[in-house]
Amino acid sequence: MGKHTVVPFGPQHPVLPEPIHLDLELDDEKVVRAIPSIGYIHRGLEKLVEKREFKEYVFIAERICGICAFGHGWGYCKSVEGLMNIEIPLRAKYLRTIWHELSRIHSHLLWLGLMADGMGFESLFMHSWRLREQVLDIFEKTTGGRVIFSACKIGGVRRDIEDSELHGIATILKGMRDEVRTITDIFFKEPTSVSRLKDVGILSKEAAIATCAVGPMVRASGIPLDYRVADTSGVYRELNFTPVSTDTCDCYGRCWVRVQEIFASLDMICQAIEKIPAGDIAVPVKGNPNGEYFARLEQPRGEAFYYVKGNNTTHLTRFRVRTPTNMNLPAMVEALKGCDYADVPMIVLTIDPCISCTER
Amino acid sequence: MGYLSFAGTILGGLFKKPVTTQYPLKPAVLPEELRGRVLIDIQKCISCGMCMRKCPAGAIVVDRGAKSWTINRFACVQCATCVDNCPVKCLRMEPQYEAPGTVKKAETFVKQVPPQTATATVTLTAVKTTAATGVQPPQAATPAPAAPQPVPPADGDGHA
Repeated sequence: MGKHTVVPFGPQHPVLPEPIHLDLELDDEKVVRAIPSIGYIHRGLEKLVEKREFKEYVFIAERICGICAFGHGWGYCKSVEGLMNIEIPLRAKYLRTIWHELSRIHSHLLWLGLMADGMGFESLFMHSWRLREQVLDIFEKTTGGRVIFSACKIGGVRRDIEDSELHGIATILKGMRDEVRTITDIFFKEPTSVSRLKDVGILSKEAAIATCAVGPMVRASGIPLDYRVADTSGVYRELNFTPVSTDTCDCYGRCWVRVQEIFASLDMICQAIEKIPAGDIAVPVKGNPNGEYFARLEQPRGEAFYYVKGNNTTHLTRFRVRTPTNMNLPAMVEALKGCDYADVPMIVLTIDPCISCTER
Repeated sequence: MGYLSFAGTILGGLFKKPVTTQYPLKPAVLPEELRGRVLIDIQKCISCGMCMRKCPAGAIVVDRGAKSWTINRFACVQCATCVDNCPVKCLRMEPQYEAPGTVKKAETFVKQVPPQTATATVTLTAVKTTAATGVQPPQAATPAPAAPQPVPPADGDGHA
């Protein structure tokens, strides 16, 4: 039995992009228990649904998170469209899928950069973000925004992408592929990186199921759980897509899953660009939502739930989001048990924590 | 696994151009589609107030009486909803961000009312006379009378 210590970790910490506090109970250098606490950046975005018309709220919904902004806008629209029985045009589905998968690439490249930064590999951090910049440029040209896109609306999408521009995007993404391969291989080949990731933060398959982990966290524990295979609001069923999973159950596996998902998304976007049909991008929305509905969407960090409740007025009475980080916090606490104190930043980063989403 | 797996990337970087630009010495290259800030052609505005009603941020105020259009650019979220909903298409997004400021003040545009019909007729007559005769008519030297002014009451008060 070593010396028992409680070390506060966060909410301000160099490796944390967003504020979360952990009370780490240590026996010497080993973590025996971690107690997380959140509540530093609550913004009350769910309450705002009572103040804005349901068509306007999509702009607020996508401000839940700056990284998966398009996904949150889509998730909200999907839930309202389900409530109002709106079937959106096929071209809009393709465009939503393309933008969402671009978001996944940009989210994972951002995370890889933060991961490299967390282990002190600054050059790798900058190269990861250099690649991400190309995706942001595509967003800027196609939606008019770099982070907040305002491209999704109830009934479809607000902007179309011309076919010539779509093929230009496919060319850019095909060119990115080799560069991404070169940079991401370093995570798995460089001994300094591998030693920080391999056999660190073990989350067994049983523990992943018990803690209801989602996204790359659960897929790295050997469970290919990905809502995209069942999603009909996008066009994933028309694309050649298989969930990425591995059974290494450690930080290395979570990193590997995210890197492979970048390549899977690159492939999916190119396929979608080849198959996208001509046609309308939106349908008119008539009437007001009435009743309850919930929808699911696979965000870059995992599966998110959206619940809406309307009373046949222009304002919804309730909107609720269950974000992936919220579900991965118990899994993170489980993975932290028994780890070295120096490995805590790596394990916290491998859940890709988005506290803004979690607190809204 | 090798200790020099990153060496190729580092050495390659020595022979490539920088990917960053020397902003602000060199202006940023922004695409035409960028939603930078809202601009208005106020002369085309019909003061219908659609942009004000649809703005999710409540950043726009339209005054029908004063024929003015006011935007609080610090509240605007650049969603372009006003541009999409404008019936006369007098709004557009400029691909340039608003400059930072030290005071959060609103920007107001006021529609200039065109001169009234009677005035325009007199002016045109004067121009025609000048062109035809080459002689400056006496009424052209002085400004044409504006709209008919109400005759003030004898007692100087506004009440009847």
